[in-house]
Amino acid sequence: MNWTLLEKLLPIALRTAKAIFDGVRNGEDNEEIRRRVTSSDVILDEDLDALRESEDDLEEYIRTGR
Amino acid sequence: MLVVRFVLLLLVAALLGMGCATAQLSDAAERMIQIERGTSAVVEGVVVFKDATKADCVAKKLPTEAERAACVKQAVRAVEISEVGVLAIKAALASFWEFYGVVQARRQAEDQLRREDLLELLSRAGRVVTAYGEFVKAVKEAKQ
Repeated sequence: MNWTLLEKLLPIALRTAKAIFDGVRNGEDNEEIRRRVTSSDVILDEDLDALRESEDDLEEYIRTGR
Repeated sequence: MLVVRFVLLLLVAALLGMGCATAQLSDAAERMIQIERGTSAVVEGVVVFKDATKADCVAKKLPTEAERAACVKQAVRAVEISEVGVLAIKAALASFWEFYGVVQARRQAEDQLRREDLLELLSRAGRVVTAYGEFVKAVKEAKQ
């Protein structure tokens, strides 16, 4: 391998490296992750609602027997 | 020749290092999503437990409030404990995703992932894992 060949190959190697790097980066930013980063306030809200309803349901039962 | 080799070596090392850090970042994110789903599944179990307990107690036709309260005591405790646990997990998750967004934006601007950012993010992920572990343990105890 001589200098000229290496000089020709280097830009190709750099482009390939950049493509791999971009691929890794984009692959990670999937839709699910994006949704959580932009709307973290809704995480587990439905579960909290279900628990509060359960609490009310039990209180109602203790009070009325139904 | 030696210089080119050195540059190529550096490039490969940097790519591997970045690939590794990026993998850690996405592993942490995936783990957080799993914990979120796991939390929902535990809550679903608590609601099923509450429904079953209540149905048993209703069938007994208990006449007084005190008797009915005693009958559903465990279910009330499981629901209350779950609420506390879910709130703690929710807060820890929000803190993780908030910083995840910051790291992402910073990385897009600088094209590199800072080591201190990764460590901070992993530490926030650790807090979510701890909160989840405590939640699962508390719910298990409350149901017994």
